[in-house]
Amino acid sequence: MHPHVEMESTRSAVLEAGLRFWGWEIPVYLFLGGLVAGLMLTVCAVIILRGREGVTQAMRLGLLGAPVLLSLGMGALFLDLALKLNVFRFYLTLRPYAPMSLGSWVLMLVYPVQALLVIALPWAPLERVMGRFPWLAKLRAFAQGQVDRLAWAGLLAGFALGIYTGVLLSTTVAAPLWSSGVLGFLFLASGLSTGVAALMLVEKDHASQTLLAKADVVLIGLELLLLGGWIVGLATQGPVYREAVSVLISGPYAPVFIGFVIFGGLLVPGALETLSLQGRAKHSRTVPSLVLMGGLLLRFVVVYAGQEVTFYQA
Amino acid sequence: MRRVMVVDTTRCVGCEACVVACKNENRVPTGSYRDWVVQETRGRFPDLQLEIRSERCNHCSTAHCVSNCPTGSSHYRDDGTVQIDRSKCTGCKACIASCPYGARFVHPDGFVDKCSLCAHRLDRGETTACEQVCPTGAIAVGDADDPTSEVARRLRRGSVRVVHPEAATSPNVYYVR
Amino acid sequence: MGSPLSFSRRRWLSMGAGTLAAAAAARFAPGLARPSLASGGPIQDPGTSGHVIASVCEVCFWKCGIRAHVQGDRITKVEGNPAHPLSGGKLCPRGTGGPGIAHDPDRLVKPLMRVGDRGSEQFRPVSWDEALDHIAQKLTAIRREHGPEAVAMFNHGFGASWFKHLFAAYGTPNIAAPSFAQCRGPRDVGYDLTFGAEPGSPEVLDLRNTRCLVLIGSHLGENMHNTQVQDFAEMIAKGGDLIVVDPRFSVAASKARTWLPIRPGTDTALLLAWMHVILAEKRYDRDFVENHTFGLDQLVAHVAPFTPEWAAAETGLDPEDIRDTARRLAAARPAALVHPGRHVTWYGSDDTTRARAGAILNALLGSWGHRGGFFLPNGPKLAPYPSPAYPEAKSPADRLPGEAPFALEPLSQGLRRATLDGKPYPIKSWFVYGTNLIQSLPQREETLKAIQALDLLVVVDVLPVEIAGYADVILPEASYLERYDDLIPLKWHRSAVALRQPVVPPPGEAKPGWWIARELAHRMDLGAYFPWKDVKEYLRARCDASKIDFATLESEGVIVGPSQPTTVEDGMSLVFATPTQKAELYSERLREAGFDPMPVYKRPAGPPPGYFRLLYGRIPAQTFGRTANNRQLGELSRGDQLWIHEKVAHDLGFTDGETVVMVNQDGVTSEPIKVKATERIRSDCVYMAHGWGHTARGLRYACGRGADDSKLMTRVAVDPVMGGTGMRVNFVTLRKEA
Repeated sequence: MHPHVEMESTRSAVLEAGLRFWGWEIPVYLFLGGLVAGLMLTVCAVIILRGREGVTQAMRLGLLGAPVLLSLGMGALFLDLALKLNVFRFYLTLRPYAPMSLGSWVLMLVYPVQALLVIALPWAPLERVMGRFPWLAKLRAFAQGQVDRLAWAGLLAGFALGIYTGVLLSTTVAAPLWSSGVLGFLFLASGLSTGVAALMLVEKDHASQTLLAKADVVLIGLELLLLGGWIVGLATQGPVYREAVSVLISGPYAPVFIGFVIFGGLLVPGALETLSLQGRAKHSRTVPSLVLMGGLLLRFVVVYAGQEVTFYQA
Repeated sequence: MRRVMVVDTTRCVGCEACVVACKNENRVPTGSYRDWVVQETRGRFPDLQLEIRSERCNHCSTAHCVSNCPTGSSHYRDDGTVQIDRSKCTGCKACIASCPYGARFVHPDGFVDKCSLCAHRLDRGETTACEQVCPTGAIAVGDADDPTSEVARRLRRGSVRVVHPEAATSPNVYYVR
Repeated sequence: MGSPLSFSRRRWLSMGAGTLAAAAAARFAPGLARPSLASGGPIQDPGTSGHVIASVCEVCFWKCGIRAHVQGDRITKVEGNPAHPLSGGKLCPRGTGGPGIAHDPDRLVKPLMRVGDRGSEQFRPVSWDEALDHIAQKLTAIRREHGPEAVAMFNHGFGASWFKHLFAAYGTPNIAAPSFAQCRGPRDVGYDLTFGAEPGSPEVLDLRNTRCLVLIGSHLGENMHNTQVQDFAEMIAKGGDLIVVDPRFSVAASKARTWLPIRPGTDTALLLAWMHVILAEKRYDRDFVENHTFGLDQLVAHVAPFTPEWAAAETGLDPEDIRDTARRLAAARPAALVHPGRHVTWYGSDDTTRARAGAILNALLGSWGHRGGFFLPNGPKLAPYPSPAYPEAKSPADRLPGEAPFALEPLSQGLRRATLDGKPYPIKSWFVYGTNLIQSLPQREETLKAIQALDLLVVVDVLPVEIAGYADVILPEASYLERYDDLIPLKWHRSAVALRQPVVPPPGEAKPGWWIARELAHRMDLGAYFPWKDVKEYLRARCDASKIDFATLESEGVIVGPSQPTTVEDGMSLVFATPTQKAELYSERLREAGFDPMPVYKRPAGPPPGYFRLLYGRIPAQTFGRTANNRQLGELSRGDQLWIHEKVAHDLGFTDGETVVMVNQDGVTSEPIKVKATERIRSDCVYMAHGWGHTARGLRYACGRGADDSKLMTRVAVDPVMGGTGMRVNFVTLRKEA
């Protein structure tokens, strides 16, 4: 039996118009950042487990594309800033309790690691360039000697990159939908999954393709578990949290979340992937494309739906 | 020194003089509010209760906006209030996402803005614009550590509440009856 | 205006360029170069403090002393003047939003003369000379042909004093303010008949010391008269007993120990039942009643049948609540007060009756002249400016013989009627100062017809409100923040005199009222009444004659008089300006004029099936329709919704926030209005705030916003005692927006 409550506020009109503070820039960055994290984690894991010989052409392409994708993501972040002139302020300090501060420094670390790894691994087009820049050759020699350490550094940076965005959301307080410790791991798993999917799109090596497919199935399963944990956890936390979740699973975002994220982005590609692993279907580009779409939409839904229900928007 | 605000909701009539006074004093842009008034009615006719609250940034002691600020722009002042250093603000809005009270907004000039507890006035020995204008004396600002202050006196009443206690941010704006 | 634009850029520069740049930055934005404190960055000083000028507010008509901060020619903020007894340094939202009037981009800035039909809002700008010459010529001609009484002057606001003087000199008796017959009239007459004095404005209520207060409809808090709300809040904080009688759960009702959700129109029954209980149980104030009242025996006999049970049937209240509240009132005597109300033109013949019933109760409680009740101060002694005597004028045209015999002022709607039917003599011209007659008078069709019958309509205002759209000549006045007005007296615990003086120059060619009146006077051979060259000469002369220091007035804004005895507790003696020289519970004067000598209750006609009684009131952020165009105040809660009971709305199929239109009993349709489905109102009435629904195109912010209640007041109930127009006799049904 709910007590009857009427609420009015000076700023009722403003609240009703919607108080969204983050727009498309954030989900786009979250997607690209997660993807790059997944890429790095995958490639570095391969280096550590299989040595540099296990790195395929596709993976090298991925390593090369990673800073580009990351820069696009950071470009989106930059566009989101309301006072862009002060962007350098991020790098005048390190605030250990602020995930955004930690994240902006991690982003800076990721670039040199990626660059050194690209140089370290054998790559025909690169040989040609080497001749022209002697300092490049020196750098390459250095990098090649440190490949294992670089791979571990890449693993750490990739892990931090993949998990901090979810942590960032979960340490804000305004949006009940984000108040879950699961979010960090969900974004990490999703980032890994999209990174793997991106590699699958360009992978020609059959053995590697199979490995990636197996990894993807496992990751999809993990994601579904984490999504379930996230939603169930919130639904049991209290009325505001239930209201926040309902926007996602029964409100205006339900069609996209259930149709395109759960089904289209996870269940369908998961099923197709399993079938192709069992030999009953061919490997195609459909599966990784669906996974990528699902990853992007997941972030849009999380960011937008989260801002629909806040503690103060009663 | 613990600077707090204590609002007596039995005195408040919801006239919103505090809103206009703050708007003028602090040049708050059109469409944004540093403070606002909420009217909450409970019950069914004719057994009704109405609580009226003047709300604003709560200058929390556990302010997530401060801990989540990547540049140190949002910070604590020595009197415990939460302030924004505009020269360091990038407009990333992590603080807006960190406020369970919706107290912050993006200023047209790019930085994030909110109630400053009229620090510039407190520093010259005046009180906040909202306390000064309030015709019913509903708003009181002062040092909770001074037992003779009006705020300390009000805090000794049995009916002390805060807004959204479930957010657990240790707000320093209190409501009494 | 100096918003902290590109603040970060300036700070960056000043840091980079050293002290020289820092000094330059400090000049551009004082306070920005302040040193930082302890931990963290610099303190933001928005730099809104500026040169301070003390003056007097006139957003509403309370006239609180203010201090306005000016930078250049912009007012940055307005605060209450701590020295002024009415504000004590505090201010309501409207006064605080005063800059929104001074800097309203829709202000009238040039004299305008009509080119299209009346009401088409087509004007051409003219020079002051052309406008004033035209008016003077026409007025002179009218005086010659029809007599000076053919001109009616409608006014509201303190700035009207110059024009009242002008038109009295011109020779017309037809000077009226809607604030009498459309607002306070019935209570002024009711109290005058009972105590020989009016409750005053500001009402002389010693609320801080009241121990039991009854509000009949008065929605203090939403009706935000600064001082009265300050006192009200103190009373409540001190634990005073508050009883609110209102069909709606107002803000005041929410602070009451008892809220009586009374059936609209039946308040007099409740008041009579209270009298019954207090008299039957002998709970009245012996001292006051035995020594200072006339007619006790008649009253006791008169109220014998008016039991709580009888009243319960009429009012829909519980008889035990009626008894209990009567006893609580009596227990608090003499610091027990039935608030006289302010806007009381509700039901017509009930209005003066109801006011008198409240007055009689106050007499029984002994609160007149007592602490916690009505205090009786003297105003400041101010010498007038010497003036020739006014010419002898005819009787006003507002009433026919025998009509509304107890009116204290001319009736605005009466002058309108005389304009239409020429009885007792024709009215050929209206001069309108500071009152938007289109919204302030009910029965709009009559007003529009009357306007079309005029030879000359002049409107003096600050904004292009609806009445201005019908004018032949519009004269732009400087707002209260831009002009001198006459000395403003205050009759209060400690009386005072305040000075209204310009804070910023008026926009465009707008001129202060004193200048307009003076210019007109000199063009009509009335220069002898305005012999001074400018207003400061006038003010200084008055101050000198009154032994007041003008320079102090200029710097402080107000000079407060000494403490004075205002209650019996202070040693004051009670005097009543009535025929019996006592408080008249029984009024022989009323009986002689053919009215009931003691209040009698008449059951009001209820709404037809499917209809609701239309009730209206105020919100604290607005003053009638005057402030609807103020963009600052527009950011506050607008209250432009229609209150309707939650269940009623549901049964009719309306949801909260849905837009509907109202159709009244005469088929007049309102503008669209949003539904506020709430538990806070009875099921037989609806409620809205007055002042929205503007149609004047020149009010670019207000035009089209909300709905206009006065448009729906096609029916009025006239109080035969004093001519007040009761307006809460209109009923509406609701329809979904077309």
